[in-house]
Amino acid sequence: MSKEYETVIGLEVHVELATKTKIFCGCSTAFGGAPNTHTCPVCTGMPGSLPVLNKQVVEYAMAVGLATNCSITRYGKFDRKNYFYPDNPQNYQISQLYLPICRDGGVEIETSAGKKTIGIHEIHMEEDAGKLVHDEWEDCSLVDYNRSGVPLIEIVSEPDMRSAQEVIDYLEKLRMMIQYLGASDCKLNEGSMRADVNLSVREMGTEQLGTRTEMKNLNSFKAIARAIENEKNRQIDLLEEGKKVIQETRRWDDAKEYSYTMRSKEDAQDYRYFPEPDLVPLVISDAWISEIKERQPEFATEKMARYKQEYGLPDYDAEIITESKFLADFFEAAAKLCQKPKKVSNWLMGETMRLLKEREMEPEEIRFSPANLAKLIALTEEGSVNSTVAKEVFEKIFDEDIDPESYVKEQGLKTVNDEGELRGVVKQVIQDNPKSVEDYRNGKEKAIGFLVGQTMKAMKGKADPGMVNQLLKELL
Amino acid sequence: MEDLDRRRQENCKSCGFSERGQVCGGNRITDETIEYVGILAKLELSPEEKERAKKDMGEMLDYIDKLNELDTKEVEPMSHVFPVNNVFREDVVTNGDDCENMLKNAPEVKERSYRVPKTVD
Repeated sequence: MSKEYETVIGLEVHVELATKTKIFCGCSTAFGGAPNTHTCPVCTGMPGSLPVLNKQVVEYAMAVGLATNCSITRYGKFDRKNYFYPDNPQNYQISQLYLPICRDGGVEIETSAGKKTIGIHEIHMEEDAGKLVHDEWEDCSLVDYNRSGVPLIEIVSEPDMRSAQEVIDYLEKLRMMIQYLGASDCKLNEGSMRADVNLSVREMGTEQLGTRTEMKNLNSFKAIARAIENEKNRQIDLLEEGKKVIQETRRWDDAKEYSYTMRSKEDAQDYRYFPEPDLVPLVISDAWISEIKERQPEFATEKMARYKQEYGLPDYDAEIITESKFLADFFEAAAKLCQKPKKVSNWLMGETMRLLKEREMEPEEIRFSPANLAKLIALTEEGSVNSTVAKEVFEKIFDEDIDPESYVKEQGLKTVNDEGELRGVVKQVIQDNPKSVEDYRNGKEKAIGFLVGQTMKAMKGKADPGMVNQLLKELL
Repeated sequence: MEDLDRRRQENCKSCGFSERGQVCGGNRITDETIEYVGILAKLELSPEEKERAKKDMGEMLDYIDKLNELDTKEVEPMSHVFPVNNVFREDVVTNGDDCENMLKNAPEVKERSYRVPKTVD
């Protein structure tokens, strides 16, 4: 590569809102229903049916807009975006083109060169489409309209990002904010958060933007990073060969790490937008905005400061825990129950993170209750179980949410603090292992470790290792 | 992004009709326009029908052109006729499973779904 290039990236992020009902009708948005069981004349585009706007959709959109420093559009309306595709029963999607609900905001991210603001061009509300399944046996497609009319917001960024890392930082920040607001669960792998990447390259130092492509079908942060790297190189190769980048939509195949053309601008659809006549204008008052502002939750940054101050958590712990709203809520609930915030934090940062990684799970997938972790902490605090047993019990809690109190009792895992009983076992171990005893007496300090191990084994792990150590030294 | 582009796209200055950025030349509907509108509307027109459509659409545009005789510089574009706004629903599920009735509207049904000709991106 003879020249230096700069990558310019803007994102269109679709977020499925966590409402109970669809955007324009009273059908449920619950996931996983049998095909077409959550449909009605409105969301299947029957003639004569009329949409009515779900107020919660407007409030979620406003909340996200306020959290991302956007200005709220006081007089808004919806528009029809016309296109033919079987997943869209009306032959138009109700969206917002001319007067989107939020405009001109930004999100701050941390980069190696310091803080950077990624501008938000606009946020608009729209409806999702149905799902098409292609039948392999018969030459046909099957349509399920359960997702048709599920509310979405589309967050359009400015082309302010310069690397895959900045894209991921921006997305993580957005996801965290939206999760804190409760406006969506933002799961990339389940499609409740979808990011389309608009990318172009230009020679370093030039002002004018290069021709961009739009990349779709990105289902994980890793896929996004790989697709950005791949597309950047593809465009640079084209330019180096003296060819042109064609403005087009491409689809990413993450298994093959390769993208292909979906549709080019040449036959891009003309959406013939026009104002949606079936929905009345949306007027947002100062009072309504203040009401939403007042309801904004405590966000990660504020929570982090409070955890450090109120609970004395170290920076790192506070940062990791507040990265996930779920984890933060869990932490607060458990800390309240056992009054040992530092211990709760230790269990979350240590064993919980280890098991999450091992089981390839996200914090949101945690199934055990704060109450059972609090009980386990109480058991270790009063010395009823030693740390080895506690880890074993915790794994049981993590996987099956067992009650540690009854589990410890049933399995007989309570630490034996009865010195008499322990002394007997230690004596037996000394008798059974003359070789190690001799080694120890000849100055091989390490040999005692083996004897402690043997004692713990004989006690089925239920002894206090400190006490075992002490007894061994005494008796040897 | 495509949408933002479209917003910036210039329509024909004289008739306001989308000519993919070109000036269509007065209110005449060209063969290219008819072909394009046909594709967008998924209509296949015979040569006679095309001629008739060209004439009809030309007349419609002439009629709309009358509006250009008025000075609307100070008038805000109107999208809705009635002085009503903020009509909302509360976020409460009111519809149950009416799958059976809904599927009566389907051209064909397979596995509780609408069976349509194979459609791939």
